[in-house]
Amino acid sequence: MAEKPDFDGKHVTTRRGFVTVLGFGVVSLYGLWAAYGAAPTSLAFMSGAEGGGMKGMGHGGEGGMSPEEFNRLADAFFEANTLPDGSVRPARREVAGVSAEAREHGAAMPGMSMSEEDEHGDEHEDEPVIVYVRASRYGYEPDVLRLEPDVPYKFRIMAVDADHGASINFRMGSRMIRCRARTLTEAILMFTAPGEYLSYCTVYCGEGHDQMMAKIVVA
Amino acid sequence: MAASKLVEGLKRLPGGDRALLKGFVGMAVLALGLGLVYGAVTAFARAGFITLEPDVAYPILTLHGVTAFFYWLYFIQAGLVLILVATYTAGVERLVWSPLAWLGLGLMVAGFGLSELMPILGAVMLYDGQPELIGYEMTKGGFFYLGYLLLSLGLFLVGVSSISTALKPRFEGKVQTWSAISFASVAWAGLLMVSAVAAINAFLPAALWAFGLGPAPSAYAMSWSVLFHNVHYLPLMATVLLWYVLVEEMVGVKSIFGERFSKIVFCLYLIFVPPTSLYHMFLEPGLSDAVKVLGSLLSLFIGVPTVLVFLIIVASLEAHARAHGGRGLFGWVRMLPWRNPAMAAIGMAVVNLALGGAFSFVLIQEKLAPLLSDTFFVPGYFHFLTLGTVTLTFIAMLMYVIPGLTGRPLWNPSLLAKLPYVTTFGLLIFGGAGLTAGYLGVPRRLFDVSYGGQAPEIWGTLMFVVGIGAVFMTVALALYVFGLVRTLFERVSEAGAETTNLAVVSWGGIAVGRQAAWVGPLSVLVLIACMYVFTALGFELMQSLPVSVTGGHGD
Repeated sequence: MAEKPDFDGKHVTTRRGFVTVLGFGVVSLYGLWAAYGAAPTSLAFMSGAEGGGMKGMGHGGEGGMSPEEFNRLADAFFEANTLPDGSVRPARREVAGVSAEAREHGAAMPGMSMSEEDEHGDEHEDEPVIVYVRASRYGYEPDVLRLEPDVPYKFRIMAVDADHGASINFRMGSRMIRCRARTLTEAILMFTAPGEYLSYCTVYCGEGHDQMMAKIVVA
Repeated sequence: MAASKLVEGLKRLPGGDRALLKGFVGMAVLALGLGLVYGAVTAFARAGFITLEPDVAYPILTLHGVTAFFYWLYFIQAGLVLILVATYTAGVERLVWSPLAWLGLGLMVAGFGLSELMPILGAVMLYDGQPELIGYEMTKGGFFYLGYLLLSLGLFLVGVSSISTALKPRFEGKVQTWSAISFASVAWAGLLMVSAVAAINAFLPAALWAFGLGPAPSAYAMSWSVLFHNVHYLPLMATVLLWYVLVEEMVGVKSIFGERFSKIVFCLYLIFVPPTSLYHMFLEPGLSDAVKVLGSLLSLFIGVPTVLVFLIIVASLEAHARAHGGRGLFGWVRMLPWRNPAMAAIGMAVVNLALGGAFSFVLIQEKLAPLLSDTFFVPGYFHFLTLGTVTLTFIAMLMYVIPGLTGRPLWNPSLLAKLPYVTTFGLLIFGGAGLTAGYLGVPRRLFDVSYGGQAPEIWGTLMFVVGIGAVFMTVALALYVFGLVRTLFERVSEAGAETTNLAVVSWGGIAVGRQAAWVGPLSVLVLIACMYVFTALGFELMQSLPVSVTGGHGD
């Protein structure tokens, strides 16, 4: 290894400036984030703009809906969409009424930010189908959910008693969803491949936590 | 052989102060031993080696976190911060306000008792004490929180005594400036006090609620995140400070960059750690995009001070080794006193820090939180840090502190010098399988991962491998605890022979001139490359999932 002294007699590797710059080298990881579209390349995010090209990888939630209201809407959804075998298969037309009701509700609730389409009250063909999921110790309603591939579904999930998870496993990885108690959590998901997917609780919730699961059938 | 500054400093302290420090050290070793037992049972149950019913398994998981994370790490920090200010601050003859420190020890012991007892009696709230899990055990849950409050009060009092001890010689005009070690120790004590306040902020409302004296805590998750962020970085800051101390003890080398630079680097912890707690909350519903992006951005800086300290220490060692004839890129590394168990321990601690650090940077990216948060990725990476880095370093320090306090040579140094490698081997298995499990979605805090046959079979296989790794970790740590206890309670002591059985070299006191130090920079480049690879792996995996998430509130 060549030893090249710098002008004041110290080797460059033993100079404070060198180690300081190198110490900040870990910050360069930002470049990789930006390359994957997972970080902004400007300060636009500070004004509320989307952070990058990898849109919607997070999930959000609102605490504005009460558990009672959620239960009312969820019960209506289950009643309208439950099949004879007990599984639930949301249909666009049948959900529309619930969707409109939810939209109406959301517009009236402080803190509920609805989409632009929602605010106009219009229904579109490509509007996500609303799916209600109720998590409670130690299971989900519905415990079997039947969905179609390549259709966007707006999941509205509430853990009605304690904190729960409502994560979905795709065998090579999972989509983790954390639900705080009595807080509405929403995410728009579109399954792109048919299959049976395990939905499971990933937030410890009590002695029956290990058994808290459901199935999502995409066909 | 040069006298150990640390050991000689401890021997100079009055008997009462030494008894106090023995109390902290003894309680720390007890907590380490108990935490080890709970951890081993937890890992073996997850692996399927033993079967536990949930009403037994989750209390043990709670106890593992409570005992290892809070009480082991905080008894040992309280003791070591007192030791460093008392032995490395010029002009200190005894601890100042030692009755406060005694009261602190008493409160912490009382807190330990409550925190150990309540999960057994039914307050199974995991170590983060989630109010949602208190169920019908309100009073027991209240006493669980009270245990943490007593721990916090005790820590605060120890911090007061530590800072007062360091300040007294300056007020008396005996010294004008602190050494880098004294300076960092005071910062450490100050952060312990800040953490104690953060703990009281989190746990007092919860305790009042549990005892029926107040409303339900409205922002517990936020309070916990702030507290947790500080309390889990404090041991890491302490670790790099102890590397300074131990390198000086074992190799006689001080920083070639000067004390002032070291002080500035330690100050960076105070700047970078507090504002970066957001990344613990990326999976929380309702967190806005701007906050998430800001959280990721700030978190990038969190590794800076640790990397800087690593570079300072390694460059100082390498330059001195070369001045003593060390040749080759890595040849000088062989000149270090590896037969000294403390040297072996901090050597492996550096390796484990690099591994844990590389993976921890995957988790600070908010877009990857939905892939990895709440999975076994978390315990998979943090055991590299909590056990492989922090605990190994604290144990290394105890190998000097216990002989210094008791006058007894360390038990079986040649055996203890092999244990860091066994620990790291176990961690590589545990972490390798655990991190893979995390990428694949295996949840943490779960004992039966089969989900009635619905989960992928590989989940169970990976947990089995995690258990294999835990066997090695358990054996190594059990031998450590045995060795430390033997040294603490051995009947025979031999004045002047406390550390004569520990190998050292003496490289200090010479000018290093124009020696190069390339190993540190190259190591950092490898570390950064690993961060890139593991992060890219996460992104690729995330994008390969057969689901697209196109919106939702907050997005």
